[in-house]
Amino acid sequence: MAEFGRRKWVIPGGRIPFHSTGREPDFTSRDELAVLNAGYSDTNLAITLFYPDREPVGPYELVVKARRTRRVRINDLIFPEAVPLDVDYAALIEADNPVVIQFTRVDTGHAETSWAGGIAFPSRG
Amino acid sequence: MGLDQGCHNWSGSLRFRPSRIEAPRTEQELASLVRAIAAQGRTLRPIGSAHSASPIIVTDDVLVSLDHLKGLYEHDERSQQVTFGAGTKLTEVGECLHSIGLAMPTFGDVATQTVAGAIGSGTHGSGRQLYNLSMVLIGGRLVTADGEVREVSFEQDPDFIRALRVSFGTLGVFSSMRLQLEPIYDLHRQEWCCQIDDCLSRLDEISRENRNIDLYWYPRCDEVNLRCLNPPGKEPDYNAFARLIDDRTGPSHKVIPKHSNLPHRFEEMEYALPAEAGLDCFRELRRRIKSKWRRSVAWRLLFRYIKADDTWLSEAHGRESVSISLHQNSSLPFWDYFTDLEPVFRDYGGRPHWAKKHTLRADDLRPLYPKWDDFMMLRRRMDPQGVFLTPYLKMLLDA
Amino acid sequence: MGDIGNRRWAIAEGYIPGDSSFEDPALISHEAACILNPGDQDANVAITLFFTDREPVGPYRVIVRARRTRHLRFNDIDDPEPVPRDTPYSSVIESDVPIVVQHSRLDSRKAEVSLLSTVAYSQG
Repeated sequence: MAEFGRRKWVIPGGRIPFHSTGREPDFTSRDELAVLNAGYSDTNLAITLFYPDREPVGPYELVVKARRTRRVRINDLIFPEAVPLDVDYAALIEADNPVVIQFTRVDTGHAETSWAGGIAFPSRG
Repeated sequence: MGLDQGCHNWSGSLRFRPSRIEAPRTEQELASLVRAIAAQGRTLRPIGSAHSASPIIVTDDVLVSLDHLKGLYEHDERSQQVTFGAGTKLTEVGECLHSIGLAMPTFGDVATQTVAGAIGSGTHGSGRQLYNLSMVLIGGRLVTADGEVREVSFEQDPDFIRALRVSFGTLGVFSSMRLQLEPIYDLHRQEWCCQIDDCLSRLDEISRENRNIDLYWYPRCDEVNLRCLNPPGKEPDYNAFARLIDDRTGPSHKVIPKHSNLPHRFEEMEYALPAEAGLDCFRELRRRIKSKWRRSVAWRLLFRYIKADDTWLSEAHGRESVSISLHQNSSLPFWDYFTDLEPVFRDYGGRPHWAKKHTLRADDLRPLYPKWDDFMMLRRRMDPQGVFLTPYLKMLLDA
Repeated sequence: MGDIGNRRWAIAEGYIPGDSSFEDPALISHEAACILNPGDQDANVAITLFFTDREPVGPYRVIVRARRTRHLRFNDIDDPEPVPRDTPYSSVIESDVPIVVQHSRLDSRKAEVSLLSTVAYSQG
C-alpha cells in the first residue's frame, strides 16, 4: 500500500462537553480523534491546541504504531496542561508520516440534544 | 541555585531568597557553621533536593545544602545496618545498597529526594504492611542548635528517635543517618487498568493480597490504574475485571519508584486519613471533582496505604492509614481546587503531608497528633533560641 | 461519469457498539460505509480493517455494481472474520475503479448519546 493520508490536520470546532450520563469511560462525553496509520513506520504526532483568548498550548506528543489505529480523547491529554472542558478550541495535528484523522464528539449529557456537523468545503487554493 | 536569582522548589511554586547558601564539606564544617549562626542570633535551614511543595524549605536567612555529605560511610553485614551521608540521593542509596546485597523495605513514588529530606518529611510508599520511610532510621549523627555533634541511636533513646524520624530539620541537622535494612529482593510490578466501580467493589481484598499496592484514579474517564508489586510468583490475577498495562520484574529499588525523573511539573496536596475512613473520603472527593473540578483538572488522584507507626509527627502515627493526593499541572491554577477539597480531608480526620500544599497551622494540627505537645517541649529544649526555625515553621508549630 | 470519485478511502473512526435499545433491524446500533459507484464498470472493492493492538484483518471483498449504491453494514461482513463489537477499528477501502464513500453510524445504546463525526481538514 502506498502512502495513505496527510501530515497536517486541523479541527477548527473543538469543544469537550462537560456533562456526562452513564457509566464511564464508555459514556464519558468527549472529543476524540481516530488516527489511522496504514503505513509501515511508527508515526509521531504533535498536537497544538488554540484558544479564543490565550496563547496556544502544546505540543501534546503521541505515537501511533505502524499498521494500527489509535483513539485519542482530547479530555485525557494532560501534558503539558490539562485541556479545559466546555471551552472552544481548535486542534492542529502534525505527523511525521501520513495518517488519516477523523474527529468525533460524543455527548451524553442530555437526552434531548443531538449534534450534527462536518468540515466545511475548501476551495482549491 | 544562583543567589541573585533566588531559589525555588522543584515545581516552581515556591520562590525565596536566602541571605546566604552554604554547602559544608564535612560534619565539622557543618557543626562550626551552626555554632557561628547560633552565636550571631541568626537562623539556618537545611535543604535536600528542594522537592517539597510546602514552605518547610523556605528561608530568608541561611540555607544549608548537604550535597557534600553523601555516600556510604559504614556497613555492618551482620546486623544489615548502614550509615549514609544525610545528603545522599535516594537513587544513589538504592544502587549502593543493591551492590552490597541490601535494600530499603519500600520507596516513595519518586526517588529524587535526599535520604534526610525523604525521611524527615514523612515520605512513604504504599502497602498495608509497609511503614513510611522514616521507620528505617535507627540512629545517626545530629548537629544540634548549639553546634555540637550528637550520636543518636534507637538502642540508647528510642523515644528520641521516634521524635527525630519525622522532624524536618527542626530538632537538628543530620550529618549522617544509620538505617536498618533488609536483604535485596526482586518484585514483579503489574499495573492493571479497570473501571472505578469494578475497583471499589473489590478494594479491600485487593489491598490485602498485594505487598505494595496503590492506585491512580483518573477524573476525566473514571478509570483506575492499580499498581501492584509482589514477590515473583505471588501475583494475584485481575484479568476478570481489568487489563494489564505494565508488567516487569526487577530489583526493588528499580521497580518500586515509578518515576525516576519527572518531566512534568505538578503541584500536590496530600492528606492521610484513618484507613477505615479512606474509601468514604475518596468517594466524597470523587463526587465533588466530577461535579465541579474536572472541568479544569485532569491529573490523577493517588490513593495509598501506610502502616501505623509510633513516630511522633508521622502522618500514620497511631493508626492504619490511607493517604490521598490531589495533583494539578504547575502552570494551571491549583489553590482553588486544593482549598475547595481540603475541608473534605479535614472532615475525615485527615493529617496533611508536611511537604505538600496545605493551609493548616499549629491550632489545627495539635489535635491531630497525640504527641504534639511532647514534640514541642523537646524542640524548645533542644533549640530554645530557634536556630532551626523560619517564619513559616513558627506558624506551623506555634513556636 | 468515470471521473467522479477516488480509488482509495479511509474511515479512521470505526466502532460497532455491542448494545442497542431496540431489536428492530433499522434501529439496531450499526456502522456503514455508503458506497456510490457512479461509473460504467462494476467496482471490485477490498476492505482492510486496522486495530489498536493487533495485525490488520482483510481483505473483505465486495462488489458495487456500475451506476449503483451499496450501503455496506460493517455489522454484516464476516469473511475472513466478523467485525468485533465494542472495539475501535479503522477501515481502508480500495477499489479498482473510482467510487465515493460516506461513513455513517447509528448508536442506539442510550437516549443521552449524541454523536458528531467528521473527517478533519487535511493537507500535506
